[in-house]
Amino acid sequence: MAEEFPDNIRRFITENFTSVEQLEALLLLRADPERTWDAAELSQALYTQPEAAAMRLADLRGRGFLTAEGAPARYRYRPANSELARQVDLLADVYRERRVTVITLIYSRPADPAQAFADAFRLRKEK
Amino acid sequence: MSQAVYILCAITSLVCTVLLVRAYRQNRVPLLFWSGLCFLGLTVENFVLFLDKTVFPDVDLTMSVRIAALAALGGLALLIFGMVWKDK
Amino acid sequence: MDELILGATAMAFAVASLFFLRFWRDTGDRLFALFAFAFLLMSCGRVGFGLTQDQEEAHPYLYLLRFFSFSLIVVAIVDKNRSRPPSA
Repeated sequence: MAEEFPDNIRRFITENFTSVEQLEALLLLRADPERTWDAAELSQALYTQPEAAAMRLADLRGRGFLTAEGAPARYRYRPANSELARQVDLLADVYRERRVTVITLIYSRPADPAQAFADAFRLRKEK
Repeated sequence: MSQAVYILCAITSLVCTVLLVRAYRQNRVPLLFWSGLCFLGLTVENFVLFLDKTVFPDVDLTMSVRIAALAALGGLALLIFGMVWKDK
Repeated sequence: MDELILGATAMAFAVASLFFLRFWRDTGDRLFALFAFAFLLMSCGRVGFGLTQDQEEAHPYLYLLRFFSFSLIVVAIVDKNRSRPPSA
């Protein structure tokens, strides 16, 4: 697939992103750290349901990428620490330069570790 | 008879180890790493017991049996660790 | 010392078996049911070995139990590759 892909970035992606939409949401908020977003605004920007956008925002906040204020919550890009910020910067570069590879990586990631365990015993690889 | 059982079990464990490690290298799911180590432990256990019965039948077997048992237990401990830390 | 290791290993197999049972419930994949059963049998094997350490005549049955456990894993792998995988 993409053998020379940096290992730490690969791990960062598989550990944090279950969908491309989630990654798009994070990069959108990162584009302007001063701006705050609510679910309705994000859903318009990404052409998704407001419920889905709310879920993405809450999940990204839980992972330490965003902070939230007010009710209903408005979110802002503010990584919990500089290491996290650095990883996201790297990821943004990789996503700009090698978008297809990143998308393939996210989609090839099994949704559930147990399923990954079971699939490991499949000898023929489905194309 | 016990030799045959041990070597067959060792081969089965080795196949599981290879499949799990191969899958781990592709998708980096930590559970597969810990499971792979568990089956590696079980491979070592069965292989040591096989050697104990066939190659060195006259050597005092207490030590090798103990090594085999600890390999299996260590592998299982890692597997359970992986199962507990499995996150979505 | 050896009994301690045997007991811990029996418990570890049993715990891992329960996790496989849970994975079976979560995914509905038969492979986990077979793994759970295999690990449960291995747990029983350790208990049996602990109880009959001085009785050589009981050991052939325990080899059979071990053989049967690993056969279940082989069956699970074969089954996984026979059934049509759900399109990923």
